[in-house]
Amino acid sequence: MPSDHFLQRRKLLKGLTSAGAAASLALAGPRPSQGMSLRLSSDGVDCCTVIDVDKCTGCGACVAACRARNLPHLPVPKQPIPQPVPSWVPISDWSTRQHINNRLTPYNWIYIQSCTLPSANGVHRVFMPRRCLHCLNPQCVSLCPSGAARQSPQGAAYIDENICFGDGPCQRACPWLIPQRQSGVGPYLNFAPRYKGYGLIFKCDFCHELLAQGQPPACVAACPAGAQSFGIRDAMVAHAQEMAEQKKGELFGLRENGGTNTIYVSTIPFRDIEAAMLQQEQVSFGRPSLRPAGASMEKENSLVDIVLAAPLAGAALASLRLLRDRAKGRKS
Amino acid sequence: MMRSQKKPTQLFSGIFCFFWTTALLTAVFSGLSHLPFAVRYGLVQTDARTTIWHYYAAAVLLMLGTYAVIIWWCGGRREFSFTRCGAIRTVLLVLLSLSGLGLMLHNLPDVALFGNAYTAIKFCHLYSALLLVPILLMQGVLWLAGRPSSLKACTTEKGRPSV
Repeated sequence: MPSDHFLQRRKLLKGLTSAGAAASLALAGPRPSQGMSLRLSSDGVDCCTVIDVDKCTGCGACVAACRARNLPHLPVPKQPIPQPVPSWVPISDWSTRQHINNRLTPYNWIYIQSCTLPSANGVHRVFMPRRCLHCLNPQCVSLCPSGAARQSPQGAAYIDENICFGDGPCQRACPWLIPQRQSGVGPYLNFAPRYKGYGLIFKCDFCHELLAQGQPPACVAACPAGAQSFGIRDAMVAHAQEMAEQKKGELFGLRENGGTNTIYVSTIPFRDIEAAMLQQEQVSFGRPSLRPAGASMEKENSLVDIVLAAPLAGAALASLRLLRDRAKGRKS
Repeated sequence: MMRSQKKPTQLFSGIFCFFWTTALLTAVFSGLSHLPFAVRYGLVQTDARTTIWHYYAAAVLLMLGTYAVIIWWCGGRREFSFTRCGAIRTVLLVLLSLSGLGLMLHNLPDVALFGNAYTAIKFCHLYSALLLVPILLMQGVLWLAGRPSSLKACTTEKGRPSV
């Protein structure tokens, strides 16, 4: 019978929908999982690093560990690199300067930023491992037009090299200008390299594959001074706050850009460190500042209520018009 | 005495069409600033405010879209049917709205989409928008030629889609 057949199909569809909804809810649970595709809260899911600036000796073990893990896999361009048209964005080639480790480059995702500050005992040298802070709500991910910049369930912001065209909205969106571009590599070479794309954008990926396995990033694991610690964000925030309270120090990264997954703790105010860095010319492109950035998607997010309420307003307007038409119909 | 049954030739008023066109153009132009092509070739400049305009345009389009669907469903389904071009545009607009809402939710601090699901939504939004632009241009040409835009008064009683 056709009606029976229809009912059976409806039952099947209902069943499939319920199973899908149940599976989605299960995947959106509080435990980090590589398979899940939707998360409704960052509580108890994000991984976070706490860096004790006072303990960092600037030994560079974190930089060496990062390079050992990532450098062998990074692509090198085939010369000559296609000249982009129009030419107002210059070619950015770091492939011949891969050894540089005193700034961020496409081939160096972490470096030690340092400066000297006057202290009671003379001069005090401050060392800070600098890399992507992995914002809780990264606008580099939000503004990437191709979806190449992504966030992992553990809170790592990373770039998928298979679909990145190196146009760099992520670079412009980052308050600390962390992402770095390398020309002459990436999928754009397979299309129209002179007219579409500029290369690939590289930045620290927080070793997201290690995070998914429950392991710390390479830089954290390599720190011999114990300056870097790693764990679930809620616990790490509590740990950082306790440290700051004990030392009477300050935090950087807890609220910057709406909150990040890298929190620096220091007894020296970050404003003073920033001033010294600027004075000693330690801040430039590839050498990020300690600029306190507000949450950059805040204005947009405040409009979401209006967008979600708009269909209701449309339905109300339509109801009014239908009532008016009905009243007109009765009169005529 | 028989009264003549005069069929309406338009379902939506001029004010509706004005707001719809304005909102659609705002959404297109503010969306262009997210396209690397447009920035590269100097067609638009990136500006943080364009995202905000995109959100406002989306809100107006969602409101007018809901209004249009209800009015068509309740009041004009028998008299009006989609043109072929209008049907394609409607499908693309629905895809754009759904993927856009997904991206808006993703931009919220405590909501995140991951991996291929996120890329699929991004691509859906991007390519729906890229397909919509030539269709809108065609609509503009048809409008200048005095042809119907998306809805056409049916010639049959049952309102079959017109070719």
